[in-house]
Amino acid sequence: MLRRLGLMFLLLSVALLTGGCWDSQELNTLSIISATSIDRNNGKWEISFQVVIPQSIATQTGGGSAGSQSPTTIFSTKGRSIAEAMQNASLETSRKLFFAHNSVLILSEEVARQEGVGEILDFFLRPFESRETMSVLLTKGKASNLLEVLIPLEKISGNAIQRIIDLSQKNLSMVQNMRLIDFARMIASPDESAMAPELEVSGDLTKQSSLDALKKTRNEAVIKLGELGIFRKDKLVGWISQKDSSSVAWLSDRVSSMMVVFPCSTKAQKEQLISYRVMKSSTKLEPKVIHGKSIIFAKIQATGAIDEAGCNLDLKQPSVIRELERTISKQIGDDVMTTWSHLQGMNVDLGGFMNAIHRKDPATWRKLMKSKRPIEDISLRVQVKINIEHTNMITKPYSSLLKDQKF
Amino acid sequence: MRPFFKSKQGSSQQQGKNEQPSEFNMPEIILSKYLDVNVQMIKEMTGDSSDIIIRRLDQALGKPIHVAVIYTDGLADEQIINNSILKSLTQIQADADSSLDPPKQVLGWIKHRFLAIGQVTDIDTMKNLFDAILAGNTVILVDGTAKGISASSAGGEQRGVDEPQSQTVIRGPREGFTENLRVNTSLIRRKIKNPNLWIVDRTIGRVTQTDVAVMYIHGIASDDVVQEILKRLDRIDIDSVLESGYIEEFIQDATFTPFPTLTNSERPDAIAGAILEGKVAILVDGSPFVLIAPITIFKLFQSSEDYYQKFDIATFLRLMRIIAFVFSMLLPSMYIAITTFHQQMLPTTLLISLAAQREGVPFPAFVEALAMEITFEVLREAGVRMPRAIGSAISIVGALVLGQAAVQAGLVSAAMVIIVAFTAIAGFVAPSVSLSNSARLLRFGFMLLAATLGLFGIIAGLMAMLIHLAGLRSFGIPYLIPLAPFSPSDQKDALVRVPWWAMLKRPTLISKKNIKRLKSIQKPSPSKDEQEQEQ
Repeated sequence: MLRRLGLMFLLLSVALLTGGCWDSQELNTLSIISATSIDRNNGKWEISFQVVIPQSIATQTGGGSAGSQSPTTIFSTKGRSIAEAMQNASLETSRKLFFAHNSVLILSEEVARQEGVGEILDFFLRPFESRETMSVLLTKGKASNLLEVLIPLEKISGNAIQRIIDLSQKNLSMVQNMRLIDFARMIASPDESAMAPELEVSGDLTKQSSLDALKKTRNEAVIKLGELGIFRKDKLVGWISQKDSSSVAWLSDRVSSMMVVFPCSTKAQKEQLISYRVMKSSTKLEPKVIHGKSIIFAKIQATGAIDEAGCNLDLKQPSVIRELERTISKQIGDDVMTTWSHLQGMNVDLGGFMNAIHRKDPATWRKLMKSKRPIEDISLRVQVKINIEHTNMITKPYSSLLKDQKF
Repeated sequence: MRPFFKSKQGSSQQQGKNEQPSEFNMPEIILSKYLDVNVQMIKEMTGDSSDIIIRRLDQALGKPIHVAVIYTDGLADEQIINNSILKSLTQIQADADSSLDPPKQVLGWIKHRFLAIGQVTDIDTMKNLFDAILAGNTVILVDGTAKGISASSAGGEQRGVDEPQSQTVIRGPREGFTENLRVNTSLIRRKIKNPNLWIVDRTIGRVTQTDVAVMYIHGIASDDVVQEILKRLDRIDIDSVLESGYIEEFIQDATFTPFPTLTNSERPDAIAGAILEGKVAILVDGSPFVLIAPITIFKLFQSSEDYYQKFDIATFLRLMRIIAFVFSMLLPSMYIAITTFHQQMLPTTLLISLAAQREGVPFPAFVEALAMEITFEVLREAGVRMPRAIGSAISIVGALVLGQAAVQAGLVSAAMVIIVAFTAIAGFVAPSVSLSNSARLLRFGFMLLAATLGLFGIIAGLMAMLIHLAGLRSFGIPYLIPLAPFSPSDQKDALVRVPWWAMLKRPTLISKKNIKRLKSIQKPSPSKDEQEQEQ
């Protein structure tokens, strides 16, 4: 019995000692990457990593004094392929690059337009350690610049960028957080259209990349979301404005919360505005073929509340509310139609129209797919139904109190 | 355990069974007719030990009869001997007409007429005599007859019934077992006033002659289990039994397992509860720890207090104990596995703060964890062994040295101190010490597995543990009852505890007979009269 147990123990320990530990890595041998950017430089890939310096972030620990050191450090490597650039990183870093916590991938416009994102996606989808949930972002300038900007309140700017997108997606709906896997899926879909938000630095970048910048109350430069990059196949084909991107959100049924600002009435002055906050919305696409022409009927429904009223309107009157609802509907409908013409011009299908046609009527879809620019053959009819649920805590606009007083 | 490798010399273990240890077997010497011979023999056999008191009387019952009163000083109650034996022998005058021939009759008189003592038995051999006086009884020998009588006079200094030290409760009886077997059986008997509570006695230990009592309720306990326990007790041949742990190692089903296949308790109410569930208690003289068999793993997570508190909190606490057991077994190994193999599992901020803490630590996480665990085990052992007066000093040193100085010196990371501390605290949650010990041992194995294979190793270890548990049996009862084999009615008192009025049956797979505990569900409700009155 004892001999048998001893033998088993021996075999087990040999198995553990020979096979074990092969991929173990201690935490202090890793450099945790929080953001990656990809540029092209002289026909080579240039990858930049934002590496977190743990000592400077966590306070009150045995090592390093917090606060005096920059929370992140950036280094760039070059190579003929992305993987080679990555391997070249070991020439200059003392620790193993650890990608599992990389939350942002920033591509420069140059890369997206000329090289396409195919190779990049392949590289990031392949290793087991890379996350498919990292956000894909575009920038018009040099991508690695964005990694240098220090963001107040946040120590790790890579995570902060992802949170900026998340928050604006939640509150504004016009930006969509493009996770790597969604981005790859959109590009590979039969629609061949994809989008990715643009990130820009406004202000003086060089001043905001030093730790001294955080000592000031007003930042020299900030990172903010800009336009929306439009992809056809794996290449960037153009940009659409923020206004257009909200219309895309309406079309693709992604609006969860949005602020619609419109004039009180068609006749009123421009500065008299009302803000309507969408709380709930749904969009239904109904493809139909009328006289041999494909038509998409988009039925947009939204419920919301008045958040601000700058003009004297009696919001207690149902008729006034109806009128407002009609105004909002018209504005949204017009905006959507304008965007649609832009999209048609770029020949991209961001609203998922082809998909809707494919589901409803595969024969028409096949016929459309034969054409080189199928989007131009589709026309859109928008029907918007807006519901003002309430006007928040007060009904009458505050300005109405002022108008009636006679001194 | 089933043989894993083919046995080559299976019969070698059976050797040495025929060897009969003989040095302490009491020879069957019949008492002599002459008192002097008997007294001399007793003196010789005890080496004239000072605590064997032989009181000789030349005159008893007012007649010239030679009598010897023999007892062990310290074991027998001097008061009983003085008041009930010596007083009656010396002061009472026998009737004048009583004939003193033959002297055999004198013994009868003493026994039937003069001794004011409850339990009196005849003895006729030296073995009986020694059994009696070493148990604290008093032996009376009369010259001229080859017989004697033994009067029960056991007493002497004893520790009183006290609050149990190892298993404390908030609500429940405060009494605990003592070192005296009789006191212990009486404590149980007082709780179960039923003639079906049977006690079977065994004497184990060639030298120590320790009394062992097996207690069970006839008609509830499974006969097979009782027979099996008695069979295993009879098989024990050892020179001494000083604590129930001796017996435990002889009768447990599997030796090479970290899990206990029988447990112990210091609480009479816990033992009574177990007996009422059809289990068997084994009491050993000289130990306040009473063994219970058979047991299942879920029984180890239960405290007797579960049945005294409300069912909802009892259920919650049971689940907490299971969680705490898992933590105390796996927490250090999970930490090792995640920080050295699966860093991607952690939230980014947690990873960074852990990485910052590890920045100055010179050792790998496994070595760090092992060092801290060993340090804790040393501290714990020191806490148990050291004199009470130094206790506070050690805890200060332990807390300061481990908690603060080690972290500040950069020897270990603060997270590791938290892990080890929580593991230690979680280990104390288990109501049974034997269960927390099994978690203590397994912890190191899991740490090794985690350090070499990561979470995969932990899962492999858990699988092996589960297979082992499924194969374990306690006196023929599968260890994972009532989950495997599954028994729906027993779920009411395994992971959860339902209210008492809904617990209709005893654990069915243990007792198998007389399983009905309640006649029907007796959910309390307002009586019907009151309801009508309200309307």
